[in-house]
Amino acid sequence: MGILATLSIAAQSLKNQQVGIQTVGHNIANASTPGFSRQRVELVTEYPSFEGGVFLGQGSNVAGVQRVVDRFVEAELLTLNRDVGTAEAEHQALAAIQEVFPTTGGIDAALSAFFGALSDLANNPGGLAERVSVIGKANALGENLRQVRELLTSAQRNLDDELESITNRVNLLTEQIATLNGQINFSEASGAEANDFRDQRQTRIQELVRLTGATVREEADGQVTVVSNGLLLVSGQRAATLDSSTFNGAGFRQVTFQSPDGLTFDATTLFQTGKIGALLDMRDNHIQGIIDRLDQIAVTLVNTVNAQHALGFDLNGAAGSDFFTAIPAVAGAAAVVRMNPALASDPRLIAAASSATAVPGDNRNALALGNLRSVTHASLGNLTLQDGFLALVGDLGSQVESAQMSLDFRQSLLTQTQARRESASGVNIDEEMTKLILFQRAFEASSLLVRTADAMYGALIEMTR
Amino acid sequence: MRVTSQMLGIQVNDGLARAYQRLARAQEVVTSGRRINHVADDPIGATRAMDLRSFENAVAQYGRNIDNTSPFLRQADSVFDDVVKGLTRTKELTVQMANDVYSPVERRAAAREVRQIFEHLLSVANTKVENRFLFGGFINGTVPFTETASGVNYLGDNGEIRIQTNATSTLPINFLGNEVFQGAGVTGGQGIFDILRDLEALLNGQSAPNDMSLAVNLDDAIAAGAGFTPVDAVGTEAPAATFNGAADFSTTVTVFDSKGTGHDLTFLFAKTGATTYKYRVVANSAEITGGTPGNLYQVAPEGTLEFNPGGTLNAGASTLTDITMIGLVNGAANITVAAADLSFAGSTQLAQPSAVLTLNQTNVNGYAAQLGRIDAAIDQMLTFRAEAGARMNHAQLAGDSLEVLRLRTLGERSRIEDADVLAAYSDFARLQSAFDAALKSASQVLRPSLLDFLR
Repeated sequence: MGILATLSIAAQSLKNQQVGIQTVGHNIANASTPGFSRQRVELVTEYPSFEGGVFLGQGSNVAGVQRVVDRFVEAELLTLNRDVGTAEAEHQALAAIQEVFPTTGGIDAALSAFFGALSDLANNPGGLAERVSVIGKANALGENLRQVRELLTSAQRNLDDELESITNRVNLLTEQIATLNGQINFSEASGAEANDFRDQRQTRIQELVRLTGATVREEADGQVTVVSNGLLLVSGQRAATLDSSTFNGAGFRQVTFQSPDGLTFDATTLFQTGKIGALLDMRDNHIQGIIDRLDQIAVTLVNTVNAQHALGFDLNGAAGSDFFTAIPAVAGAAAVVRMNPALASDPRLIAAASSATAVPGDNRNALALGNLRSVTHASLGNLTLQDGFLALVGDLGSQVESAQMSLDFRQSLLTQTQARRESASGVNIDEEMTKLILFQRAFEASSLLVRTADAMYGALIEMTR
Repeated sequence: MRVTSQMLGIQVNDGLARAYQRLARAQEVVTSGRRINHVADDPIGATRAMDLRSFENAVAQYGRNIDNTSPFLRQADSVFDDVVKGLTRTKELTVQMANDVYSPVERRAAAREVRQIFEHLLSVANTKVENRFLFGGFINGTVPFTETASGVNYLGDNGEIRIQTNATSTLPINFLGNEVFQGAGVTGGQGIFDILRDLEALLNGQSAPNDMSLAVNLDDAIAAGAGFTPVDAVGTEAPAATFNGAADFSTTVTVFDSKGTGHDLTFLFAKTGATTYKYRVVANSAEITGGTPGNLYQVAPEGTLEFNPGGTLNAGASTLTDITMIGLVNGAANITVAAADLSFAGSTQLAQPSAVLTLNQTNVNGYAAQLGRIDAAIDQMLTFRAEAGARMNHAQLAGDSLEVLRLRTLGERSRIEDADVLAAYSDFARLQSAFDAALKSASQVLRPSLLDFLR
């Protein structure tokens, strides 16, 4: 008891209010920092002293500065980030190739125009204009097929390039998380929580999960272990690296895993979710599947047209040669659909007749060629060329549609969960202002207390003079 | 629930982004006028619309094909009309000239008119449509009909130029000249040019061509002396034992008398040696004055035909008797088939157990015969004209149904693919006002803070 004690309480209080104001300031300064969790000063009353039969309060003390975090929401955010990462990459890849198949003027229109030109040729089998038109339409069809296949391949290449930047990013993130693990471990040895380091680490973990679909476990020492489908990406202060500089047989990047111990192996198939998993799936299965089907359509077109063309006779009375350049293998077929150069440069060589002696009036082979429009093919699942192509486009459309829906759904879930996180951990300026006023007023009151104690001291000193 | 400023920010951003996205999509629908702008907008609808569009293309193509048939069929119709007119005029002339009151000079004048008609019909038979012969089949480099000393030759082929009228059916647009003008493959078919040439010769007083050629393939595998079953006995006359007929060894020949009436005669052949045959000519009872119905009568005695090993007639060894058909009294003139008129030059002996007989007989006499042929030719032409009409009808109907199909397809595609303009506009307006409201409310919510009141 005494003036000194009062002064001591006031001094402590001034200090406490300053801590409060500083924390408010920290919160306000980070109001828009992503991943920041607001912090709260834990003020507790000092142990009272027992004097003269009464407990006398000894003021307040700062017990700690805590970050406000909802652990459950944080965990949920990780899962959602993984799902959104997957859905985002799927949608991005599919939407890009969707534009390769426009709803008007695509391969279907080129096919239709090609068969139309053959029909026109049947109407006037001797006409040079009709023959030139067939060549033009056949060239356009080949060009269209080649271009679409090229665009699909370049879509695969784009995904491949993205894979490289993603693995680089993953390496950076695992490194940073490992470093932060160390800092948190070191800082928390004293028992106080390393708030800002944890926030930083959480932000990086979220991104890493989004990219790799990894799962995260926090150890007792505050460090996290990040595992993606059995691959140990981060363990304590050690980080694994991913490398995408080796290529597989098809010329695409493989994802090579390098553990901190130097163990290296191809982990391409181990990534099944997250952005990497989705990119690989799109590249190797979906887009490749579409390319394979396009190749099948191309090879069916070329073989059927060539077979029918060979049955006919050209204007010189010679048997029809290959209409399109023959295609040796199904793989890559659409990339090499080209009219036979000999035919393309001499329209007289188109075999419109079924008899060598009845040229140029005979139109039977031209009719038969035009009729290929409605011939079904076992290799296309008993569909016509046109329907085979439309089935392909329809399937792609459905995939894009469902990817869009899945992305929308997951995105809105993520947004809602982010809002829930913000609700718990975000900074409310009004709240901080109110706290600021409270701390300020308390500070003012504490300083008044100092002045009062000072005056009391003064009075005492005056008394003794 | 605790609300923070960043949370408001996230919500506002998210909401505005979504509203903007919806607005952009509505805008796309309004500007393009189409409900489906990407396949994913409606995968089923989009592929259906693409399918319908290519079907529309095909239908348009079929329409163009059908339009293409019109000049050919119309031209054919007008050619048939010309031919019928020409033949009708020829018939008038023939009826007129059949009267004995006309002098040879007048007949020769008529012959010149017939020649003109012949020339005209020959030129229309060589009609070209769009640089293609209408009656030449597929052959385009050679004129289909040319006149030679012995008649008119057809140089075209049997090619039918077919045009696709829908996915499964085709329509021929040309007519085959050998069918139309020469009666090839037509039951009772008439050679129009032959009629006119015969008539011209008749009017010019030249003897009508009397060539009768009979080609017989005789079977040398049959043992010499082998006869045929007595069931085939000829008529009431008891035939020689070695002279029984068999169906394969007989043929029927129609000869015309001077009035143009046809008479059916039957030639019977039987093998009597390795290279010797006997023949006889028999006639049906109807051809014989006073004949018993159902009986056949021999109208010429049998003779022996001897063939060289190569199949040609060994004239020296054969005993050919003149076949004078006295019994055939059916009009003013008797029918005489001279032995020399029987040509076996084309015959070959085949080592096959059958005897194939082909007969080419154009023995035509008299005006009445020509009249009969002209009538048959006019019928033949009218049949083809009806066929042309039917094809035009077919084309017309196919075109009409394609038009209906086209409109229906167009409507269906529009229903699937096109935006309901009113709905699209009202959607757009609704989304726009929603977006405006979102913007306004966002600016209201985000602005105030305690700071505004602490000043």
